[in-house]
Amino acid sequence: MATLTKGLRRDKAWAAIGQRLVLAVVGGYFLSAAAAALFALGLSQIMPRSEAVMLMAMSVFVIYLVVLLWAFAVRRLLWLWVVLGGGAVTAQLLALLAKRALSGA
Amino acid sequence: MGQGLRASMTWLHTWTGVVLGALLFAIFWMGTLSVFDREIDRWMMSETRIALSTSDIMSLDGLLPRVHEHVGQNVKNWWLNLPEPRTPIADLWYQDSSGAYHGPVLLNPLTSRQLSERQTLGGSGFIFPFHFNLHLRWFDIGYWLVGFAGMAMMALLVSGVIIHRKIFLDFFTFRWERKLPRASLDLHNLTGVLGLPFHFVITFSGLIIFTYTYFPTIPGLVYAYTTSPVAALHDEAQELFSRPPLNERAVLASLDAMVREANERWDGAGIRSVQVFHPGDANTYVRINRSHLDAIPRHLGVIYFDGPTGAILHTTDIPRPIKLVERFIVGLHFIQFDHWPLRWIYFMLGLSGCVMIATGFIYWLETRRKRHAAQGLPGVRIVEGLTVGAVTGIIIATLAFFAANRLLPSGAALAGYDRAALEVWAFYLVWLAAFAHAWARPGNAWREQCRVIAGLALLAPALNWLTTGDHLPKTLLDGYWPVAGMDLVLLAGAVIAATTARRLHRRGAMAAERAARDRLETAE
Repeated sequence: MATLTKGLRRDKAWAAIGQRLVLAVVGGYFLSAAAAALFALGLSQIMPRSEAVMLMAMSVFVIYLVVLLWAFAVRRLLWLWVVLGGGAVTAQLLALLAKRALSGA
Repeated sequence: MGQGLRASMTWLHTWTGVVLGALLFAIFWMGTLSVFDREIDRWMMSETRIALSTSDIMSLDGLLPRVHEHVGQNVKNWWLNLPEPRTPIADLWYQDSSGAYHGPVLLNPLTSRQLSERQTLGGSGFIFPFHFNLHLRWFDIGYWLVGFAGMAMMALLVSGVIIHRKIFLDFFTFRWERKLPRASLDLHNLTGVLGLPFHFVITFSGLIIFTYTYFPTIPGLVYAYTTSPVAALHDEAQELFSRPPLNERAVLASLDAMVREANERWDGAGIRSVQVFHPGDANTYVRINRSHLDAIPRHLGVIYFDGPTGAILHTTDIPRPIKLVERFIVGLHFIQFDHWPLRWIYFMLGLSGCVMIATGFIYWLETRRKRHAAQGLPGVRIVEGLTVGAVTGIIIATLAFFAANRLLPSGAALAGYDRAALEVWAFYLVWLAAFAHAWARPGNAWREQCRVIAGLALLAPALNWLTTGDHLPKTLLDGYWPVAGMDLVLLAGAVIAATTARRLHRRGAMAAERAARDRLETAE
């Protein structure tokens, strides 16, 4: 814990760890899920869509793994809020809009 | 690689391991046993110990009247999984007109007679599902827990590699004569490094099997036009065939002829299953699946026949490349192919994963024991109980499950639970008791639980002998390996557990002697 919470008081350290954990696991999940879905949609333009879905349904675990490890390697919490928090919300919104457009069409 | 990264990865590795290690051990243990789930089935379902040779192929046409006895007329479809070397029984399933699935009805392939009601979940019904859903079906919470643990395992493997300083040297290092922290770290590294490719592949492939449970949004977005995206995906990817019933009567052509033709097209690879859609209808059609005994990817070939004429309607052979890759990865996990040396290697590597998880715990405990004792911290005591319950506890519970299977009389029932459920209760209650014992008797729990393992692992083959007459010399002479192998593994486990218990006892005695001497010296 020492390196990720250097110079923080005990209660602050727990809050920092808690934020990091939630952002990594939950934020990372929603970011990976939406990003993989959007990638699959993009890939379905150049390959059969079942193939695009399967490729991303396998790759998503690698994406999520990299996100998880990055979330524990990066020092500043602000970066996590921007990339995982902001990224997850943005990607989910984009996926939602795309889905609306597709199912409406 | 900076010091910072190594330090934060060490933190991640340590705490993920301590928090999720118990769950991971349970998954690895049950998954390792699942390598031999059919053999465990033969041991636990003694009425299915049928010696089947390849020449005993069932006549499906001859079987039809018996199928109709079970299935009735108005069903959507029925299918029969044919016997395989590891599963000498045929199982019949059907989907009734409301769409509900029924089965399996177990049939003896030699006599086509129904086998007596299965009174145990066995290896394939309890141990195998435990390793992917923990039998927690409420909101699929078991699947999600296993998926979370799987992702954690991937993170543990990568962070473990990153924090390693000398990965090559550790390959050849096991200083068993050293003190426990050092020896357990060596063993942790040895099993971790040696088994790394296996652990990575088995975890990754396990996650991929349930990817649509964990990430439904991926097919959900691309197949946004339908309400059942996963079904649409599978239909498209597998190029399945279907057609509606005509609602006119017709007679089914010879199933045996269709099986013969399919088998010829697949160069004699064999048949896994036969499925009849809209039986009795003029539009009835038959789906025949190729055996997957000779290949890693599952479901490689499918041929559809027209029911009334027996003509081929549709075939699918090699799927598209990514689908084939997916089937290969999934096939690596399922190991349904016929390869005994590889099956044993899976088993040993699975056990090495169990050792890796257990030694990780022990290293954590031994490097903190003195400090926690000095500072009065409860961490070591809590985690030690967790470790003992998770490691030796689940082994004891599994053995109790086997013993209960041999001890409970046929048709046993208690408080509304049937025999199969009582076996499962035996498992959970014994596991719970092992946790309670581990927390109640720190310092003695490892040794005492090892003794219990040794006792139960001796008891189980003895009970098998007493209840079925299939003692080890007999099964060995008959070459009946499913039961002989299980008894041998149990006996080997008993020897290992007894040796471990004796060593722990000796070390405990030595430590007590040392402590007494220290006390004496300080008193003087």
